[in-house]
Amino acid sequence: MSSMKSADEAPLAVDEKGSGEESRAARGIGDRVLEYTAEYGIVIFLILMCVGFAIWQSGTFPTSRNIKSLLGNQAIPGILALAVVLPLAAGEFDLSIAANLGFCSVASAEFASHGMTPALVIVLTLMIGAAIGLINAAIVVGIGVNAFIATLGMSTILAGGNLLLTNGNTVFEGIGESFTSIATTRVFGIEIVVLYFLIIAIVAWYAMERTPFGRYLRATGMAREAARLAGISTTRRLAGAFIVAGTLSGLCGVLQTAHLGSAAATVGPEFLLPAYAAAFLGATTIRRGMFNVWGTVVGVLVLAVGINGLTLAGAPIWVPDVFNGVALIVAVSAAVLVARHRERAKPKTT
Amino acid sequence: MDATTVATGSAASPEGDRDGFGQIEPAKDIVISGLRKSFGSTEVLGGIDLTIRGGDFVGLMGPNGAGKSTLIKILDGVYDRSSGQIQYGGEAVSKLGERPEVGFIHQDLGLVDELSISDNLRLGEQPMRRIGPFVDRGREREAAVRALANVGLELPVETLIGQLSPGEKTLVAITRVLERGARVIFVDEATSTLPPHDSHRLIEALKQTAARGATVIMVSHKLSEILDATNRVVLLLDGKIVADSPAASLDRSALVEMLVTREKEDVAQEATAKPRPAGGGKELLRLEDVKGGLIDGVDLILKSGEIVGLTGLPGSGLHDVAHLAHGTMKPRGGKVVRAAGCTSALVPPHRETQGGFLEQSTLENLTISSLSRWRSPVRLLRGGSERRDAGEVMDRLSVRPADPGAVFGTLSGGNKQKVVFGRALLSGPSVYVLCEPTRGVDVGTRMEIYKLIEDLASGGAGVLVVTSDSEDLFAICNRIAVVVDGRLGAFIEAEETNPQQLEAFI
Ligand SMILES: Nc1ncnc2c1ncn2[C@@H]1O[C@H](COP(=O)(O)OP(=O)(O)O)[C@@H](O)[C@H]1O
Ligand SMILES: [Mg+2]
Repeated sequence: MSSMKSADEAPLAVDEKGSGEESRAARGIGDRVLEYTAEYGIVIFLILMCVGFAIWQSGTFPTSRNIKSLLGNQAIPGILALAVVLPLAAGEFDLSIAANLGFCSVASAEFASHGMTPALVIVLTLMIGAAIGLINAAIVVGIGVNAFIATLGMSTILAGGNLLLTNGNTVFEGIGESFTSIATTRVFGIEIVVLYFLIIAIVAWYAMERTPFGRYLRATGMAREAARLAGISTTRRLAGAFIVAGTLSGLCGVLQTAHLGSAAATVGPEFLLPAYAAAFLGATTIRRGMFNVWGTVVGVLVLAVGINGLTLAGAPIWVPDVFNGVALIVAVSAAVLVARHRERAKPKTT
Repeated sequence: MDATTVATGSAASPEGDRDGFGQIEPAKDIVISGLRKSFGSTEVLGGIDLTIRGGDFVGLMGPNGAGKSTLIKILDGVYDRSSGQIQYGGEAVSKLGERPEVGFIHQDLGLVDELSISDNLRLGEQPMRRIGPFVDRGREREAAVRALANVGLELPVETLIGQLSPGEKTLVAITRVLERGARVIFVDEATSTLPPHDSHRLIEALKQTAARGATVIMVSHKLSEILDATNRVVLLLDGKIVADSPAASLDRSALVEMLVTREKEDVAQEATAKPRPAGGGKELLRLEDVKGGLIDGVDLILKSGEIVGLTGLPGSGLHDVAHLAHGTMKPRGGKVVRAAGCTSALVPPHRETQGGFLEQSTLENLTISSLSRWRSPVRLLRGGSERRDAGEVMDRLSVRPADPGAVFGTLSGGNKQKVVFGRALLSGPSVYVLCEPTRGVDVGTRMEIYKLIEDLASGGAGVLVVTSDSEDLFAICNRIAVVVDGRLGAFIEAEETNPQQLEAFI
């Protein structure tokens, strides 16, 4: 994780006397171009990819149908990627988010098929998601188990739970229109989950960048001891991050069941890697070197557009996995290289 | 330093130069001309012309942020220069760090804690240059012992680096560059973070090394060290050399004159020649037989308007008292009693690891402890008032650069210290627990910090100064006590003692 830290952004660098403007103007054009290219590299890559596919697959890629379905399919992975950002910003991994999604998907399917109202299903499932986050927090923060191990164990337990609930079958009976509509209702022709994704992104961005909560979380992730000595309750911040991540994963679970109208016993694990790939890609842009919300949204879109375009071009079935894996490794490598570069440029002494 | 450089290096420097107690062959002259460096649009070095002759012992001084470290890092090759020339023995070089004859001791010493002294001395060296596949452990050991003795270290070479005191580590680092054939040594603020005893040893070792013929360039803020050890003082101010005098022509007051601007001097006068207010309003904080960490029972009372100083050797548990008083360490026994509504703020002892968030802006570092002050009813941050309040504190402490967006990690040491201080100020507590408040700050800033602490006390705060720098104690404290082996000695009125007496207690 420490490789993700870097000294770069100062988003609040507002120089009221305007001298900052001058100095920025004084800097070489070349430097600035380079800086922006590095800063917005992924965004530029996304745009280039869109343009490229629009030309290459002009009959299928740039159609409104394709774009609507692309967005509709990426909303849930997108929310899950945002869930990952919180623990990552606080300096810990939560590997249980995908299994949490899977468990909550199955649980909500069971609730719905037993005739509960959609509202009740949502409330119960969110509580399950939050409870999983709370247990993670208790193990990691309370006992002090390495988060990687604790949440990996939690994932396996939840996968077992799915088999217990479903006997290995797919749950679909009794899941009615009233329930599926919470994900599939269309607003301006786009599935409502996209709207949820957008709202959650905005709220998460506000929380991370505009509230004390976000500052505390980042401080905890960057230098836990310094944060503690500065009076931040780092254990509470960490616990909060796990609980929010768990709750969002639970939400993804309900939405997944509603979106598909069913829940398979094995749903979940396939969501893990794309969520991390998006978050790490996101950390290379916008607030470079830090896990951030809009960067993660861009990361989600990069993965989605890449896979969608290649699939339309007739790429075989193994391409999406390879693409996700390569993206994750490239993103983390980029972060490591940037950090090392900065390390060298950074004053070593006090 | 990579293996190839070392291999060429040892070829270039015959065994003779590096032989035990013998003389070190004098280094060639280093000529720096027109050296400039900018970070982005800010010029940090504005044309340095400096000739360092073989055998010089240069004291490089200047306020925090003057560019001393930047200069040294350019010479080493950590940074690239923007323009200018560096010559070694008349030959233009791009970085001196490549040459084994030139050694650099940065504050991060580059030693491995988990390895022994002798392994660290060998780090990065080429075992290949020995004949045959076997390392002659015995001879190597002997050489290491002799090399250590040269800097006054008498420790078994098997000792792990992690067990050494900070000063001893620095000595090992110096031994290492000498062993590689260094005839010129750059030492950047090595004594700033050392307790007096260790500093003293280090200075002695550097003097020894210089006496053997080496060239030494030492950055320090400590006047006594500079006067004691160097033969030439170079003063850097805002990236330019403003004075360059033989040390013999200077005394303490002449140095202070050189270092402190008019305005700051007034502050200095005020800080040292003040009638100390008795202090002692209402009681804010009381420790009753508190135990925790290395501390084995401490009693202490801090009253409003009072500045209480604690000192002691490293390992005495000195800083644990600070953490117990502030509440960042849970006491194992005893009682910490706070007056109703009494809050405290801490300036932690280790700025680099505990002080702040290197990647964040100065603003974010300043305000992190008091964000609730700027929270709107819907729990958002009011960015405008946050910036305004932080800006005020930055002005008051004259933090440089004055840009709240500057990345904390790029600030010079003294400015980092000011920011950590500013964070405590912003949170407006009734008790300040200040660990090593003047560690690594320049003379002018030191005076400013003293003035500030006195203002805090006269404003009704209680201040606990926990420091290994006895100058802090005599400049500002009302009462002083020494921590020895986890226990606190009796308090002495500052006016009734002197540094020599105090040293005897430690
Ligand atoms: N990597 C960097 N990026 C931007 N500014 C820097 C960097 N390193 C140092 N500076 C700035 O250069 C100035 C000189 O710093 P430094 O050489 O560390 O001072 P000194 O060692 O004399 O206290 C300071 O204002 C500092 O903020
Ligand atoms: Mg410095």
